[in-house]
Amino acid sequence: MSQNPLGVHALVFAGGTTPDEMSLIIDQTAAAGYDILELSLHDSPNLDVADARGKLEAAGLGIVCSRGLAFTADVSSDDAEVVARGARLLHDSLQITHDLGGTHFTGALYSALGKYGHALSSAGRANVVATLKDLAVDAQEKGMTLGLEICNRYETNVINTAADALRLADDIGHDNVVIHLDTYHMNIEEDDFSRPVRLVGDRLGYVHIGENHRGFLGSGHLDFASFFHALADIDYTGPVTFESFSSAVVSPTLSNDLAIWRNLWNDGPELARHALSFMTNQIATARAV
Amino acid sequence: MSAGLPRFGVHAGLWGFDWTPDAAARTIGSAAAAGYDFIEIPAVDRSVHPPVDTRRALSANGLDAVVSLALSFDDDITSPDPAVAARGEHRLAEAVAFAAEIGATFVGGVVFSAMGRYLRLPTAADRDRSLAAVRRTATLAARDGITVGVEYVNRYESNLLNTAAQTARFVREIDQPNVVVHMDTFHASVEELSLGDAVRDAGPLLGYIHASESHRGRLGTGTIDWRRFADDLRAAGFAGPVTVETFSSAVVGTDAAVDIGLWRPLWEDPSAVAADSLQFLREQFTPVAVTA
Repeated sequence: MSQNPLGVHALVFAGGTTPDEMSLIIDQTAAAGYDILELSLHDSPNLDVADARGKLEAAGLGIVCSRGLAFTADVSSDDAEVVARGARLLHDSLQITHDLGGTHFTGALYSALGKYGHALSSAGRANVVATLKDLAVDAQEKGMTLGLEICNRYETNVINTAADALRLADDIGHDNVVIHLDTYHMNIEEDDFSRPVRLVGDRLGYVHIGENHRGFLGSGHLDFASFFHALADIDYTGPVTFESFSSAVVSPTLSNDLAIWRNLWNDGPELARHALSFMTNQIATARAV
Repeated sequence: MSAGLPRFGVHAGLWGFDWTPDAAARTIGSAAAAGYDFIEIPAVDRSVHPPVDTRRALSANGLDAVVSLALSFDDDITSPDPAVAARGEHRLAEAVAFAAEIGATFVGGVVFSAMGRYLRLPTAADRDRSLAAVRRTATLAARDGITVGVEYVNRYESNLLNTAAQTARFVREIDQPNVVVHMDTFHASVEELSLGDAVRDAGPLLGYIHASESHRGRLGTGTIDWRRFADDLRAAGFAGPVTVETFSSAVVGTDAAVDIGLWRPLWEDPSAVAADSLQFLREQFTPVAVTA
């Protein structure tokens, strides 16, 4: 048995979060055998929070919410109004996560999810720090944890490496802000798959497992053995969530934000079952050696 | 050139993108001093930078050259706007002309779409426009004995060609003998099942390689398995050319750094990185003798 709660990203099953889509997502997440559903809040206007919470509880599933910001609501901006819109989006999203029964809110909470046309300014970074300090206090009062997901250079200019993320977390300075590593992004930015894990150590709070092309686990070239060995070495017992995207499941907004142009799979439930088995085996073998 | 090794080149961008006569001579001299067979030069505006200066510097250093370019949203041959598409095709023709004038026989790069962050899937018409324009460019290039390389890039830099399989299909549809698949290991590392699968998918159409680390830094410091890649290329009968591509925000300047999303410096000294990378690739591409 895995010591880590295992999760799956909702976009494996459906592109949006209407009540019908949530029913499908929750049924398939539970049927595949996962402990946790990760829900991206890109479609939150269509989300019926109370309805979804009831279905999650009935299915016995934990919930983690994630999101990136937008260029019009971006806490890394120099423009106070844009920062304020980003901060409102974060506090609203934190509240939704709480109302769903979740304790973890993670993602690119510090910037838009997109290709920047300029480097991060020092004023922009100061806005990130100030906003996330406030959000951390809000989260603390709710008994919640914030994750800083490290994303690749095409999705943010704020933090691309574990070293960047630790510096940001240091400046935010709240213990309920943890580091979120994602193997897909690590492949583009890090030197290998073990040093970042050891560097982050006990500040690691959330993990995304994604293949280099974001398709079937094991069908690409990522060195998952090294990564899971490193997780075992630091005795990481937190959530491990599978993330994969294909043009077969489309979100009108998020698919373009993530540059999903190719069909890497058609059958989300089959993909999810395979990923659970893959991760369970990797975790078990890493702890056995 | 050592027997059995591919011809190795280096991207001029290691030393920055300035191409005044002095900068060009300095960069070409640095590439030659590092021991490369050839240099890859980004196509420049011929009215601003007379090609004769580049040609002279190449000749003085005994260095061969290839040319590369990447279209932008302002000159994108996939665009439904005829003026935008026409600007793109004109840029391709200008790159071919620049190559001919400096004595280069290869023009590669993102010649099939903008290099940029698309926000929608390509349409069939986008792809058809691209095919037609690259085909006309290839016909033009053939008159000067120039080969055109179609460099597929990762999902964040084009929505049209992200894999060797897609690119091989595209090149087959162009159906001109002087068009080849141009593979970049940085992009392939994001999109492919493995580098070996990409080499096999490109098959005999593979014509040009960018050797670029998984994070675009110094070769050997990332996750790419270079020895295995060299074996894959050897097994496919690919003899080169192979060009080192690595960029650092410490050198390239703000505009270029922003263009390719370089938000941190990956190294400081381009000439040291150029020399080290060549030595590294020579080692990695040298077959290991196996004795019974």
